[in-house]
Amino acid sequence: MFKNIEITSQLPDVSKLDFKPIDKKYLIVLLLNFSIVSIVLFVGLYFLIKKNLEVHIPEYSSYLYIALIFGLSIFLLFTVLGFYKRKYAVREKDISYKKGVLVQSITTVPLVRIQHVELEEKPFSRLFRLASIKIFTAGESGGDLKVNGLPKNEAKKIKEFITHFINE
Amino acid sequence: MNDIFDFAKFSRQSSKGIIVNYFIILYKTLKSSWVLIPILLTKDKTELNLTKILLIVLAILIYILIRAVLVYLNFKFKIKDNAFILKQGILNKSNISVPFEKIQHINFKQNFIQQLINVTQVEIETAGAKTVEISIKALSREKAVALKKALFLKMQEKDVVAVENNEPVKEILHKISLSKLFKVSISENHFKSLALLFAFIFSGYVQVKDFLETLELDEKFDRILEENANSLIGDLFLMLFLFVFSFIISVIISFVTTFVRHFNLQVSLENNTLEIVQGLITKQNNIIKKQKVQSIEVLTNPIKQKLGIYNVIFRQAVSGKINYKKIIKVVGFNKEHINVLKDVFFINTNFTNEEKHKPDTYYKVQLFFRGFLFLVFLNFVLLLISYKLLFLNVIIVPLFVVLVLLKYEKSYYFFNKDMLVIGAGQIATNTTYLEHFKLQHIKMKQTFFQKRKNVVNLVIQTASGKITLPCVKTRKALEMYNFMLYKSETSTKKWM
Repeated sequence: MFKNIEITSQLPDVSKLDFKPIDKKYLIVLLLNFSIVSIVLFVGLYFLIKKNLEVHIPEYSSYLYIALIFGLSIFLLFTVLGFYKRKYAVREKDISYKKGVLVQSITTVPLVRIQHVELEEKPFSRLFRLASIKIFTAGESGGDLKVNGLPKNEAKKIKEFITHFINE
Repeated sequence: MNDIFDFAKFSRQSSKGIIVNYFIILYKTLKSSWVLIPILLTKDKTELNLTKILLIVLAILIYILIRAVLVYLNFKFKIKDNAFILKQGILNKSNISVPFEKIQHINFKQNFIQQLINVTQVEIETAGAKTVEISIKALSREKAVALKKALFLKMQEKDVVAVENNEPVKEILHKISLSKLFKVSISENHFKSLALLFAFIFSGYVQVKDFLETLELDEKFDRILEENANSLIGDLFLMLFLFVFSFIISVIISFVTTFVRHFNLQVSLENNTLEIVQGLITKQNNIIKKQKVQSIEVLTNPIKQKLGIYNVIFRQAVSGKINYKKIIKVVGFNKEHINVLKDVFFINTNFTNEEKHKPDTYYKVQLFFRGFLFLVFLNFVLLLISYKLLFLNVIIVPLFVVLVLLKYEKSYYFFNKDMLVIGAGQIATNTTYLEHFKLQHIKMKQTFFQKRKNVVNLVIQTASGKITLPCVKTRKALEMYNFMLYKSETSTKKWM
């Protein structure tokens, strides 16, 4: 164990953090995204079967639809379950994000290590006045931490808080 | 010291730079137009006679020469009060100015041509959102050294480099001898190049087949096959032969690459900065600053351990994509060298009072399960080729069990109040050293199965990539998570 247990036990504990769920309206955004993907896949499969597969293997076409429906419903289930697992917490010195159904994870980024912050508004999210926060640290490319589905005001506040912290 | 060279006025490269420019442009032209060559060759040859072709080639070569001269004439640099100024471009003129406080490294480099005509390439690496790299292709050695000194002087004025009262002591830490390099190269992991070789063969199978046909090896193989037709021993013999043959080739490949890359390696220590010079064809000169190093990995394997050889990988901070220059490998250290390095780079490497932690035994279960899935897949593939190949399981299964057990045996970690040490490897032994405050962000990951066993994977992201601690008990992982966050949030030291 650590030599300095006194400090360790007094350290702020991430497991006792008060995690906030993301905005409920984001579930609608997720469902909208899901329905667009499903429509595209169904139309694609329809044409694939009509143009190609029906000629060669007509007896399988209904199974293909069933397989697609099965796959999509599992995806839908995990999207909905996963939505309720997405939680975030901002502390004085760091920001944490929790997610996942089968593979759960917590990520924490110390504010001092943040290189820059981005506020992202995608079309569907904008309809519901939602925004995403993307946080970049040094090292690998791409967003290191992304919190989707924040109310726009909240996202702006977090962004300003972080920007203020970095520039200090 | 720079009486001879006045950097306050604009100066050009060494006139030999024209030669360097010439080869660079020639190389670029060939690289971008090699697709055209086969097209030209397949064209109707009656229209083209030898003189015509020669004239065209000559015209191109003269064009490149003119271009090389113009590039040389238009390439000027000087040192101003607060910045390094570089002007370049024939038609598209560009004027780059680099403030001294932005300069990160100054490296020297020599490729084969530069070595031949005895000029040095100076590279100035800068920090910033967009990485600007300035490379001056050809300077005489004296001028390059003078430029470096002049820049360092300016940087010291700007407090970029700590001003030392006494003359910095340059101490040679490690110099590799030819016999040592030979030992290092022969004890490399040859299976790695074997794997690469197989990948190469499979991707270019057709070409290889054509090649083998020209060698008439096919017939020899066929004869061997016929003699042992349909017999198990025949298959075994053929496979053994192929294996030994490709293994010998991969030994040669990894031997030569290691030998060439690390030829004449010299590591010197100056003001807590390592300077590394190595390479046979391209001479690399790298400077590693203490604060830019994110983690250090010490690699060895059973043979190397017997010989007392340790390779070290320095991982420096990267911005954006992984740039392989930022990961510098040095070979052939011994135990004392490693201890010196630890003293230079880390504050507290005292682990004598610390407990050695092992991952939870669930890690073993995880490894076996993954390996099992791989074996099922492998057997499926073998079955598709021929059911006779299934006998290979006699070798593969025990090998796989041994590898998993070794992997579990070799994974451990030490944790003290400043550092984390992680051991990994199967046949090789890799030890990674990392200071807590170098952390960029940290993650705990837990699969459904891990949750039942109450273990998590701890993923530590540094500016040079991530490091994973597999299957740590949740309570212990949380303690480390909180502690490392606390360390990096309260640290006043620069992580880069």
